Amino acid sequence: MNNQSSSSTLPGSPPRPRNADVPEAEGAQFKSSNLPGNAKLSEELDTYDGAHRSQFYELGQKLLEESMGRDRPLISPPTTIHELRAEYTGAPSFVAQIDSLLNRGYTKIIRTKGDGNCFYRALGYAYLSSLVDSPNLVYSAKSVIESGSRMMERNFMDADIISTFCEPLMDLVDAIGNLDPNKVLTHKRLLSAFLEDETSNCIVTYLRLLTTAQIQSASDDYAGFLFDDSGEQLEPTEFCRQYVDPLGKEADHVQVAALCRALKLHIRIAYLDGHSPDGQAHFQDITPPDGGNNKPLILIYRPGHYDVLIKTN
Amino acid sequence: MALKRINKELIDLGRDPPSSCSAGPVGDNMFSWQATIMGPTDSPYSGGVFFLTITFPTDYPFKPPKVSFRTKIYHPNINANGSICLDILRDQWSPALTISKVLLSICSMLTDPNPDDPLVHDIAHLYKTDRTRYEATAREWTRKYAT
Repeated sequence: MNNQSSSSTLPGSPPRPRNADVPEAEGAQFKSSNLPGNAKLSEELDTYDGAHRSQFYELGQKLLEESMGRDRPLISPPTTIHELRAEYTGAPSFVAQIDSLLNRGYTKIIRTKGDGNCFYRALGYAYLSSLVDSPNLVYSAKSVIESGSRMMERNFMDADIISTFCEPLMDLVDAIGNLDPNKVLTHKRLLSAFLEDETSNCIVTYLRLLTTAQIQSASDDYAGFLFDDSGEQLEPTEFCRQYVDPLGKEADHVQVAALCRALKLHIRIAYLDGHSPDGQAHFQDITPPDGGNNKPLILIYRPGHYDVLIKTN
Repeated sequence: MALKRINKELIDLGRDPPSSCSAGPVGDNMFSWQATIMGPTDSPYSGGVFFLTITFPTDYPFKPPKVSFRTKIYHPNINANGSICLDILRDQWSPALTISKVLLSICSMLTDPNPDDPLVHDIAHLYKTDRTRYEATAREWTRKYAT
């Protein structure tokens, strides 16, 4: 299966060109053959139960909008995925995909607010949470973040402004190694930090600016994939100004791949879209050019929204 | 964070002021500023001094500052209340932007109005159809209200 045919169902993908695959040279490893919704597949589906499928899909979208509402807290404590399943009663294609996740040991999710920042917030949380679990990675994570800040400065961002957004992130990373049991970063404290507007939004902003710096630093790799809502190609600086820097702008595939590259992270995304012919939720791996030395951070994607997914075995 | 950031911007403005703009707090309230913009020489606003008010929200810089003209100005993107139609003051605001960058954007908007996203349709229409008359009126208003 080629990239062209998969582009319409990639992450964050309403069908518009800027959601197209990012270049192979980017190093992202797309297991696109696992992705549902390529042209051939869609045809098959349409012919066998098109009407029902589209009804279920609409229902799923409605449930999605209700369940990720804007009045949710910025982030919620881990909840069992059964909670999500209960919200999709009446949308069997979604329920089947949720069951397939359960069967593979993905039993919990950490839900984020549907405020357009969900990818950055979910990724930031999953990243720090993985460092809490593997403190041996803190040293390399700090050097990645520091080199990220230097990359931003090279892109003419104000060093003082960058550091005000970076500080809350670095404070949390530093707290992982704190010997004082009252101060050491635990999952509970991490969650509290992500619930504070200022800390949470500083981290989201930092990750957005890092994404911009990555896109602009390797603009040749991304230039062919930067489009506006009407499909017009944009210069990297203009694309970042419009679709990366402002809070509330959803991340599409380009942003996801760029941030994963900047942080040298391996990200695995489970797709819950109600469109799977075999009833399974499919996964896509996004890896940075050097492979990424972390255990993959796992996110769950429903069209327009990201949450953190947790495997408990 | 808001106050710390606003203070930083004030210091930066003092150290490296953008050409033809100035800004600072009106009184003791750091969240309430006044700014001036000199009409750009390559525009019909040349020779005018325009006063603006700036109000910072408590969650600045995550939300944009509110900026409006206090001096009357004839411009397709600025209405009679002084409201400014500029994307970075709305949904294109980024926490990495500063008042200095906002003022520079307003300056370039004075030189290059955006008639395709107008706030005052009549002025936008005139700008597109009879540039000379638009410029004459803008010059007239500048002389009358901004000098």
